[in-house]
Amino acid sequence: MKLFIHNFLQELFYALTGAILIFTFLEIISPGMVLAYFNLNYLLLFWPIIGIIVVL
Amino acid sequence: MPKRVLIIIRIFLWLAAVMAAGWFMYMKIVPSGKISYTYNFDQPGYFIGKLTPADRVVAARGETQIKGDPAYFSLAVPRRFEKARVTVKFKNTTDFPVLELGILNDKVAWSYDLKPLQNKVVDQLALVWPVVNGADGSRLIQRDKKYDTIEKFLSNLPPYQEIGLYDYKLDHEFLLDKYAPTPEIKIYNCNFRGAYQFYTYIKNEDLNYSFDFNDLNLNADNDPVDIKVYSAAGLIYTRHVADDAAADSERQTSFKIPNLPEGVYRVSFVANDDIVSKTISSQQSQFSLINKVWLGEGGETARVLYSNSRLLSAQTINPASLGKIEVGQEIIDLKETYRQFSLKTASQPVAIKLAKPDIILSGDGVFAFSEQSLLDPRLKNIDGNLDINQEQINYILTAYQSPAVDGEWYEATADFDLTKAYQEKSKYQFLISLPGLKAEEANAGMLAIKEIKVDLSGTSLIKKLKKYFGR
Repeated sequence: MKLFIHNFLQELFYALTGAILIFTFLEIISPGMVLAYFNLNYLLLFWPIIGIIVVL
Repeated sequence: MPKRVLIIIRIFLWLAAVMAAGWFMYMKIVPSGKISYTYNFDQPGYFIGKLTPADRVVAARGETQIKGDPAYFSLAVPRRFEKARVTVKFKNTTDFPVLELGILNDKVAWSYDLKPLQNKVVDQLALVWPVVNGADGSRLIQRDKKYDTIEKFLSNLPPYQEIGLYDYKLDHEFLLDKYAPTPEIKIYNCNFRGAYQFYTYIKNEDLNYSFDFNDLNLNADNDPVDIKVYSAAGLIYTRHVADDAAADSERQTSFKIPNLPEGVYRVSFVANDDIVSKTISSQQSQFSLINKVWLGEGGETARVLYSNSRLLSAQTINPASLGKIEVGQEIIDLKETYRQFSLKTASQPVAIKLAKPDIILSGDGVFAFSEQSLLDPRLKNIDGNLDINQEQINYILTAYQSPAVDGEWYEATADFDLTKAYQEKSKYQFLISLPGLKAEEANAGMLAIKEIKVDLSGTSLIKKLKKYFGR
C-alpha cells in the first residue's frame, strides 16, 4: 500500500510539473488564458508539497 | 504495484493536464463566436472588473451601491468580438429618473455611447398617457391620442416645440427664418482647452473655420488634433493634424467647404487637454458650443456666456479660479477644486458671468458668446430636468423599453457595437450614469447593482477559416 501511494504521488508530481510548464507557457503566449479561470498559485503550492512527500 | 496500473494512472493524470490546457485554449479562442460572462459581486471577476472609483462605490453583500455618478467598470475579452449585450440587474430608489449605460468610444474626446437602462419619466408617462407601439419597438406617448400609428405621426408632425425625444433620432429640418450671411470675419478669443463641439449655420456661403491653437505639452503623449464636420446626414469632412514635436507649439489649421445646402452643421474639435484653441475665426455668425466647454487660462479674464441649459454645472482644477459665478439672478459658488457644482436655471436663456478663467462649464444645452448666436437644433430630451407641463410637451417618441421587473430588482439590457468602441489591451471601458447623484451630497434612496451580465458575439472560427481560405 505504501509503495502504491509513493508511486502514485510520484506520477502525480510528474504530471503536475508538466501541467505547470504547459499552463505557464499558455499564460506567456496569451496573458489571462489560464489565470482567468484557474489560480496557478494553488498549483505552485500543491506541487512542491507533493514533491517533498515523494522525497521523504 | 503492477506496471499496467502505473501506466493507466500516468496516462490519466497527463490526459487531465492536457485536457485542462485544451479547455483553456477553447475558452480563449471561443470557436462558436459566442460567450457570456456574469459578475454578481460575490467574488472578484476576471472578465468584468469591479465598479470604480472607490469613493463613489460601496460594496455590500451580493451587490454594489453607487453613491456618485458616474461609476465605471471594465470588460476584458479573450479575443475580438463584434457585439456586446449587457444586462444589468439594479435597484434605483433615488429621485434621479434617468439611468444609462455607456461604452467608451473615443479616449481623446472621452465620449461614451450611452444607452438607456431606465427612464422613470417615460415609464410614468406611459402609465397615464395613451401609448402607440411601433413595429420596430419604438413608442409614441401622447398627452391626448391624436395619432393611431407612429407612421402617421412621422408623416404629419406637430410643432417641434411639442415633441420630446428619448433614445430616438428624429430627422427634422431646422432652418433659421431671418438668417443672412455677413462678410466680416468673427474672431473668438476663446482659449478653449481640450475637445469641444459646436453648432454653426450657413446659407448660400462656404462653411469655413480657422483654428489657432497651442500645444501645452504637459504630458509626453502625442497631441494630434482631429476636426470633423457633420451635417444632419452624418460626417461630411474630416481633417487630421498630427503632433509634430519639432514644430512650434503654436499651430494653425482651417477648413473651407463650399456648396453646402442651408442648415445647421456640427463641428467637432477632437484633442486632448494639452491643446488650447487660442482663437477661432469664421464668417459664420452662429457659434454655439454643445454641452461642455473648458475656458482655459489666458485671454480674457472676465467674460459672459449665454446658455439654454436647464441644468448647469461648473468645475475648476485651478485653485486660483475658485469663486462665484453669476448665473442669471443666482450664483454657483466654486468652493473646491475637482468638484462639480450644479444649478437648475430658473429660465432660459441665461447669462453666465465668469470673473475668472480656467472654468469647465457643462449643461444639457448649448453655450454662446451672445444671445443671438445661441443655436440648438435638437429637440427636447426627456430627462429629469425637463418639466413636461411647463415645456408643453404633448408627444414623446422613444425607442427605449422599460426594464423588466424581477421582484424588487429591475433588469435592463443594452446592445453595443464593439467594432466602434475604444479598446486598450483587450479591455473595454463601461460607465453607469445616473445624472444628479453626487457622492458628496446626501441622497434620498440609493442605486444598487446586483448583477452585470455580458453576452459577446462575433465571428465563429469556422466562418473565419472559410473567409481566410477564400471559400
